[in-house]
Amino acid sequence: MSEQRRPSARRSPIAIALLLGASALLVVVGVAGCRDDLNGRVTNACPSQTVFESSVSPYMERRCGTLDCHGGIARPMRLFGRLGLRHPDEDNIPGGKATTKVELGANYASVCGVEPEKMNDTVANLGNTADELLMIRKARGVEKHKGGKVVDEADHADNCMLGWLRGDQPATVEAECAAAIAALQ
Amino acid sequence: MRAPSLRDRSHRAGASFATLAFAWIAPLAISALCLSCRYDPVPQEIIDDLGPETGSPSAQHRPGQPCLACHSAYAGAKPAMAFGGTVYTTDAAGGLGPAAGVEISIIDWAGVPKKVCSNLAGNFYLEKADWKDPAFPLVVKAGSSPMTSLIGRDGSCGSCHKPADPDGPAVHDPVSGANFDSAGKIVVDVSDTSKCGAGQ
Repeated sequence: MSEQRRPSARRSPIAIALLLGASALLVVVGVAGCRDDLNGRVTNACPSQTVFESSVSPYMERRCGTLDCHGGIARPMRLFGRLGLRHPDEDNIPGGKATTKVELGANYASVCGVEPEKMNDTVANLGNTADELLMIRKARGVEKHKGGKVVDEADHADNCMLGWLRGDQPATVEAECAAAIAALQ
Repeated sequence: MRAPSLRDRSHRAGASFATLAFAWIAPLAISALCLSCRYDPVPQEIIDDLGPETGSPSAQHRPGQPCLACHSAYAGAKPAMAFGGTVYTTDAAGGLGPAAGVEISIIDWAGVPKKVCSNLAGNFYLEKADWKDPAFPLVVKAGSSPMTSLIGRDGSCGSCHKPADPDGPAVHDPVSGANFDSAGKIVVDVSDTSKCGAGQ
């Protein structure tokens, strides 16, 4: 009885090398995916919290943080404040007591967390890429925004947010934000 | 030229029937598809949560509910509304009752002013036909009480001036029902009532 050799059983050295290479790649990818870094932390920079809380947040609370917009409990970039959503851990109601420290801190985390890596880049390049951030693009109406166009380029409100992102002098940011708030009253 | 055979005629009849069937079925299928595409879970959940109608639909029905949930392009209730809500005032017993004849003034961001009166149920609304494209945010005054915040995008007062969530934190304003995520009912001074309109 003669043995018949199947043609498919033949492997060229190149095919074997490719197979081994692909296997090695899979193993590397698999090992990388299993790295024990689930508890790892990445720290991204965000512009001054002090300036945000004293100047920028009051504007954003009034213009963006109404209960039907970013003051909605389910909304991205959620904002708390006296005129809208109140922090559920505190005993306040909309229109009641002034915005609290807890709420200001939550607003800062919320705004910084929209695009943390891009925000980090913005801080690193002193605001040169600030106008690429969603918070600016949406406010300007460059990016689709359910709330429509909120600011015009270089108006007080735009300068308020951009000044903070660029790290402008606190007094300059404060003046721009105050003018932006005045326009809403 | 050869006369069509019985087989040819039969084939043509079959083809005609198929064409006819396709002409009927295709639009039906497309319509069904379009109808199913209309479903939007977000507004639909709001509508479903409103519960059934207790009387017959009228200008006085469903006080306190978000008018534009149904009176919108999505749900299609008539009339389509641009803005609507309900105002209340305190009654003799200290409870809340509908505030009729209250003037609600609204100014949009383009400076267009609108005025409307509340009816006997405290309901007020502006039809979409009378205000096609309001420029948000809106500045609103109910009677002599200006709203402390702007209205960002929602023409339904009841979306924010809603009853407190029973599963949420305790109600902090026993009169209006305001809570951490609700501005409570719109309560106006009793002196603001009967100032305009006859109410329907």
